[in-house]
Amino acid sequence: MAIFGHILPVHIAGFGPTPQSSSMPALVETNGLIDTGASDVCIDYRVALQLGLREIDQATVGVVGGSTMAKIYLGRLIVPDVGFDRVCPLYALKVRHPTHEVLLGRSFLENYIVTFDGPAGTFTFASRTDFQERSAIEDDFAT
Amino acid sequence: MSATANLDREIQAFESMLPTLRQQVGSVWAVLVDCDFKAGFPEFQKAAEYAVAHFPDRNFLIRHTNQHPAHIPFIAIDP
Repeated sequence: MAIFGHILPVHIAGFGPTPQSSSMPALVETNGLIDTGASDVCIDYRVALQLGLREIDQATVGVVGGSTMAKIYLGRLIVPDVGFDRVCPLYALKVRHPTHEVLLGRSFLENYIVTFDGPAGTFTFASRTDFQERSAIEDDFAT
Repeated sequence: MSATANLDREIQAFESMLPTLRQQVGSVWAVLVDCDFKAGFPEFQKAAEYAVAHFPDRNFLIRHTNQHPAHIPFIAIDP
């Protein structure tokens, strides 16, 4: 079990061969906003350009006020605090002044049992195994 | 610069073959290259590893045969 605020440090990296440049970083370290309303992991398109990520699809995405086209890139999402390191489809929207470079949507959150403590403003992440073991222990004392 | 790909043909091919794909391979991450279905995988990472290993210099589409509509509502768009 791990407890965090609504923002987690994340790393975004490429996967597979990409156009190489001496000025192109291998990794971008930034912060991800936990976004339960987002179906997927979303990145600022400038991160995709910076890393030279490979475009693998496009999609129409529902947003506030309507819908827009997003490019979907192949990349690696790393969230060190919860031990997440996986290749993922990363949805990139063009936003002029994004408040966050990464939105951690449900495609990431679904790997954990996530609990939000409103008054404390904290999120608790537990693996399914942790949650099942804790539930089993609590059941031993059920009356 | 990112590896910008023109995937319009692959997307059209995917959409036209989707009913057949669902019947033949079910719910998988499909890899399409040159408008041809190459392979399907239950996990995205496996599909990505296959595509990158076999088609490193080609454009490929990776899409799930039961792709959900994406929603990212917590965002304001400046057109």
